[in-house]
Amino acid sequence: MRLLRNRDFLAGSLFILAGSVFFWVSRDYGMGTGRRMGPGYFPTVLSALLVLIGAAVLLSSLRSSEQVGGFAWRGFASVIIGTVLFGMLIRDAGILVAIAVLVLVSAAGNRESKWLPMGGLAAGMAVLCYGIFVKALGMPIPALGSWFWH
Amino acid sequence: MDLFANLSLGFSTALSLSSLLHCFMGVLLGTLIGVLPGLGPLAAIAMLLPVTFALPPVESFIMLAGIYYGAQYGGSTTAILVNLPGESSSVMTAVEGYQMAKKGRAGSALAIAAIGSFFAGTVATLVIAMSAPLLARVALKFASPENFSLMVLGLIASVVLAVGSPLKALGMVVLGLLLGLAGTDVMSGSSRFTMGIPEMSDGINFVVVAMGIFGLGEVIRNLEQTQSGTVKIAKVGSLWPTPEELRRSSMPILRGTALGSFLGLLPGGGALLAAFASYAIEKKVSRRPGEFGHGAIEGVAGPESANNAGAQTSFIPMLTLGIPSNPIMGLMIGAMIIQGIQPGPAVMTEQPALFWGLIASMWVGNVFLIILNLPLIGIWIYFLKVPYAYLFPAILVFCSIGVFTLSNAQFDVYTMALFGALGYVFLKLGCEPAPLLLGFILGPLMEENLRRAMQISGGDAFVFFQRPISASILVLSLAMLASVLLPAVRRTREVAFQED
Repeated sequence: MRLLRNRDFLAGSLFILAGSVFFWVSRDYGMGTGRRMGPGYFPTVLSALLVLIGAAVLLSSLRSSEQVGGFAWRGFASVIIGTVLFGMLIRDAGILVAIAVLVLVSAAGNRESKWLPMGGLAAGMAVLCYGIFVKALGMPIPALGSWFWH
Repeated sequence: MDLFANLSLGFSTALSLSSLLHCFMGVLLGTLIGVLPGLGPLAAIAMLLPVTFALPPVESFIMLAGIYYGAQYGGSTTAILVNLPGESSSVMTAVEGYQMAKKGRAGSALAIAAIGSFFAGTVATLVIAMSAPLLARVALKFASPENFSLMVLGLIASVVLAVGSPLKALGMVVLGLLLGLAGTDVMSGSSRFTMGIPEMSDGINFVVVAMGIFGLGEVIRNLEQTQSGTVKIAKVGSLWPTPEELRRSSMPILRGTALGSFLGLLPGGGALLAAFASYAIEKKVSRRPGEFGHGAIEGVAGPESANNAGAQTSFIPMLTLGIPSNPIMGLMIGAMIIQGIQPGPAVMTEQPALFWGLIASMWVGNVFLIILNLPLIGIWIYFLKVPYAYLFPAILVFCSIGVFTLSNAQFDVYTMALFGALGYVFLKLGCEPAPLLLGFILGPLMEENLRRAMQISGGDAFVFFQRPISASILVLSLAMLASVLLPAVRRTREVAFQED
């Protein structure tokens, strides 16, 4: 499937999809009139425009052969999962755990990471950020969250 | 004599102890982040924005501006020493500067870059001080149709200057505008695109979008190549340029400064265009064009002065019209709004200390930069050596904490992760993310001006073409758009005909 790896084909499809979703959702907002534009007016016009642009990009893909280069799945997954875990942990587990988990999970995205120095980095960053953000700047984030107080 | 009164107000603000301290901190942090591999000025500012929110407006803007040109400066250091331009406006510096470094003249290239930037920064500060009040007076006459047209021009300019397909850049602008509309609609009070999530009622914070796309997205892209070992850093050598080198640099610095000061004013123009144009001109007027590409000092002096001048004068449209000419200025506007200041021509009259203090601090910042960069170059080289394996988890930590502390919301962290994923996908599809961010910031402003203009005209869309200023801005935008889109159409046609 060469088409499914064609950059312009994918970009065009993405624009059309996004435009259609915005268009669909905007139906519920009042259009109003040209004189008194409702909340739906501008988004409807823009999303229609986005679909049109998407179609033009899609058409241009018939003439282009630029393929999507290798997708860094490993880096992608580790960075995104690491960040989401940080968000899930920061309140209940506290800043120390959240940062250590983020560092270790994201480090797995790099094949060359060695576990010992990364463990050191995780501990160092956790303590450093606790010092800066909680102790010095006084942000209301627990060092160790409610998970540790039962 | 107004100018002197204004500048003295500016300097009395900028030279207060607290302003000096924040200017220094901004410049220092900016240089530090600019020197670190894989972090451009946009990501740098986005990462440090939350830190400045706690400060009073004057200090916070002085620091943000310091971060901006500090990062710019740090970028040229890495361009010369390791052939890694921190951002696109130092690409030309990397071409000639690195060749000079290979010949043992790195110190001289760094010195010329610093001298050129300092000179350009000084001139640009004066240009801003003289032209901003004039422009602001004109801008006060602008009504919503003109504002709307100007925003169209800014967005089109970002499309024209985007790397790669202009059509895709246009799509990114429109997508950005749509995303920017999410949240509560100010005029009708109804909430849009919030998916029923309470955290979405204020819309998506622009810092979240910027950090996701330019922080996380870039990190993932950098992880595509496994960096092994440390980078090879050229020896700095003597920092003193020879009299011959100084003589050869003087004219390029003057020309680059003039070019940069002018191009920086254009929406979407700024530093990048100025640097490229200056390089092309120096190559053309040089008596030794053969040296270009092999370490011609003119190719460092001109573009470095041009990009610094352009970076600074790009503040003018932001300060006088309240319209960002590039995504970095977009972040500044966002920061202003968070500080409770409505960007626009009124800033100068209502907040003279902020306005003139910021301008004066630009010059002060340039003095700090020359002190920081030349004698202390050894320290920055140390930071250049930080391996990416250690750097990127730290970047992610600062992005995540920064975003969380914006409003103590876990939701913001998840949204940032989503935009990080999107940002990487966009990069893979050859869609430039900068126009998206600009559209995102301008979305609500554009809608507001559109509505107001249409209300005044009684629903007649021709109002934009009946007012001379608005009409000429729109015609200019259309011409710019046509110039990039049409050749592509023509080429595709030719290809199509050939295949027949």
